[in-house]
Amino acid sequence: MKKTWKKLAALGLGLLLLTACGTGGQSSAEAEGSGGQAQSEEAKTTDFPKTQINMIVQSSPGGLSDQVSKETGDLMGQVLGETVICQYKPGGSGAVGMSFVQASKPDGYTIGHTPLELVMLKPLGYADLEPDDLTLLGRAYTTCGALAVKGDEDRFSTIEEFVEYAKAHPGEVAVGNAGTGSIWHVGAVGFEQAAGVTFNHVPFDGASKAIAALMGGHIDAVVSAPIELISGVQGNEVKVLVTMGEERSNAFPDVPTCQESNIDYVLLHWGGFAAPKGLPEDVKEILQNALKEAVESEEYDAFMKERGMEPAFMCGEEYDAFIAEQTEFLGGLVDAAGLRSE
Amino acid sequence: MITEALMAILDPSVLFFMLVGVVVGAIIGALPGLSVVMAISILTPITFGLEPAQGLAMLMGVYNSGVWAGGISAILVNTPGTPASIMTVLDGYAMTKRGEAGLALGINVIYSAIGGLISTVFLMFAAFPIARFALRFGPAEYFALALFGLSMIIGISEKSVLKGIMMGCLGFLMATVGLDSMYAYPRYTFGVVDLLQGISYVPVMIGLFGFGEVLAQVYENKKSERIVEHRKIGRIIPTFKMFKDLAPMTTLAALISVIIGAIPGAGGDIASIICWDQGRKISKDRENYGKGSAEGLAVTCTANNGIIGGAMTTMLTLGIPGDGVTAVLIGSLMMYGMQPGPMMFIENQSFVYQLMIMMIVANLMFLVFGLLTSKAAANILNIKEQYVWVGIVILSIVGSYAINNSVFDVIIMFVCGVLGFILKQFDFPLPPIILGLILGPMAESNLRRALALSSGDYLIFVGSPISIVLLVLTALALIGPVLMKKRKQQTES
Repeated sequence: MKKTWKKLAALGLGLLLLTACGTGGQSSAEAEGSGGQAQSEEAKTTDFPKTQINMIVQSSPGGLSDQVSKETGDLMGQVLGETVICQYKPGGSGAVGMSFVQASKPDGYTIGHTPLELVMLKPLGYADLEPDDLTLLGRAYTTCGALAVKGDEDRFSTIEEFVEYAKAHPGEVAVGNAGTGSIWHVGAVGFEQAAGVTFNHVPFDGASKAIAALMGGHIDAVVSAPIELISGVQGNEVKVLVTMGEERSNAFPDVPTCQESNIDYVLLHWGGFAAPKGLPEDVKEILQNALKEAVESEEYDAFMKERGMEPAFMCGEEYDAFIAEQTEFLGGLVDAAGLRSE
Repeated sequence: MITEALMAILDPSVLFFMLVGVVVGAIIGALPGLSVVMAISILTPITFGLEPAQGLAMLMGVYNSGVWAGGISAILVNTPGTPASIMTVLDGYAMTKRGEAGLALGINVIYSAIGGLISTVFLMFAAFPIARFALRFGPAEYFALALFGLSMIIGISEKSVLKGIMMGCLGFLMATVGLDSMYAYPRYTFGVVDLLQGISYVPVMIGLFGFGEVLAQVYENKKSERIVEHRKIGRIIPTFKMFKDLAPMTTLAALISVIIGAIPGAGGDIASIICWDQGRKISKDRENYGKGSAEGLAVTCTANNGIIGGAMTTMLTLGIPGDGVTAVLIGSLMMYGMQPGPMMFIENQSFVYQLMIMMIVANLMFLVFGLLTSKAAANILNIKEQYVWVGIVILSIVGSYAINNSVFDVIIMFVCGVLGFILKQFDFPLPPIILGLILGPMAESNLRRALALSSGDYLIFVGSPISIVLLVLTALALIGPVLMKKRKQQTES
């Protein structure tokens, strides 16, 4: 048995190296070009980073988390003068990946993508992991929730009419989401409360399948992120009635926000990056500055806008306060959705 | 417009990168566990250094050729290289045992290309109607489709239907592990984080058919005096008569698989399951299905490549992925600055044509490549068995690890290998386990989703023509054999 384990470990290592070569190749070339002059001042006091940095992605390759992590990692790598390589640890709504970061060595060479599931894992009972168990580097982006209906929907064409219809038909309006316990599920529950209506929540296996069901007329509405809806809106297959950000979404500038429509509700999906707990202060500062520089670059801005998202850097006490507020807000929604696990 | 697109593709550098894609796809596809999805995710960032046409050509090469190549390992060593080639094992490996490995490989590549070409033609001429039809599949229709697929457990149960059903239920049981698909309640996880995401069917498949087969061969080898024989490879290209005989069923398979490919979330595995079972029910050659029927093999090969056109259809027309690969491809296209969806057909028409022509060229390319390499591939059979065994065990470990970079999956693979070996000794058929694992979650979640939609009203399941037709077909599949048996008894007495 011991021998098999050793063999497994060796094979695993070999494979990791293989994938590392695969994904790392293109970013190292870019990093060499701009690395030198962008080195931040702090880097001179310590010799971090000496070698490549591993970025733990909490989902499978190819998805949005992967794209975001890779882009952020590439830009951070340019600032740091080292390559940032993505590794994938999908599963359990991100529990597997984030727990992996938590259990890694706090030397700055392992960082991870931490989307808002970070504050939801514990209330949902997926993992005993709280934001305090990690060294939070900062928030990188936000994207708002959006409520969409079918393109040729004739029962309601504005959010007011939709809410009115839902009030007249309590529990009948079928609202699809990306899965029970996902942000878009608890987000729809929060919208219900704020608008004073009751939906019939129907979970699907991923946002795209919920949207397909909407296009096929099997459900009445969907709560999801702008990126999932953009192509449907362009082809008039779906219609966004309301967005849930503080300001109008740059993807749908003509669509009112909840607050404009007299519904006191803000629902943001957001994501940041974190390292294991106990990270030395100077290393944290270097990584934080690299993240800040990456997020505030023009390239990042274009990358995010293309996907209906906003770069939104935040760190330190401000971020801690934001996390605390979100923990309470989303924890409350998990309760309201009846998903709290004891 | 089309000539312009054609010119862009006939550029030698584009063709070169497509060839690279075809070769990479063939290797990845043939290796169990290394999937096309993985190949495309890893290759996408690398292709950014290239011109968009070159990069896309490479990805299309990988996609089309990877699905075909999954059949190679299914035919030669009884281990499906990709989930879509699960059904190829049945007739393909039986043909190899009969000394027709060459012909099996030939059929695999030829009919994969035919399936791919037919479905691309549909994509070119009927993209929007097909996508509209696919959208009519709601939860109730998905449930009926899953049920229909499950009815084929009878078809693949070999000698004992009872044993087949028991194995199907075992697959169901395994599928219940993890967060439940509707309300995210952890089932049978015993507090193990790795089990939260459930038991994925790829390591199970690799274990049952790859590692398990090695165990069985080692065991049988010990039992009986080994007869050293030079395994025959045989002819590769089918005879003209064979082509003629295979035409009706494979054409039907191509049509069915285009539709299944277009339905979001139903991919090559489900398409080949359903097409093979249709063949077993209505073909003249049905007696031989599962025992090395060339037609059974051709049907599955047509089906698993035939979904590509369908899957691309929903992705390009609606921006919704039709299968696992297109889910990743959407991301790749966005990286190229393309937003798949209805607008793409209007704003980037030449790009859409380019993509379609690329698919045709990629199919032709892997057809030639596959035929040229069939002989070489079949020579695996003449390598000393011990080496092949070691090779399969190593590939099984690497493959099951690579899916999620998880050692846990490797353990699942080993456990299933031993399980498969034991079950095989008692003549339990193994494919129904995979069937239960693939179709069980689809049936369960859509049953519950449909009931959630209708507030518990069961009438939703007969609410649309699609589900009624599928349910009637399922009922016929279940009752048919019983009636036939009765009639046989009557005529005999």
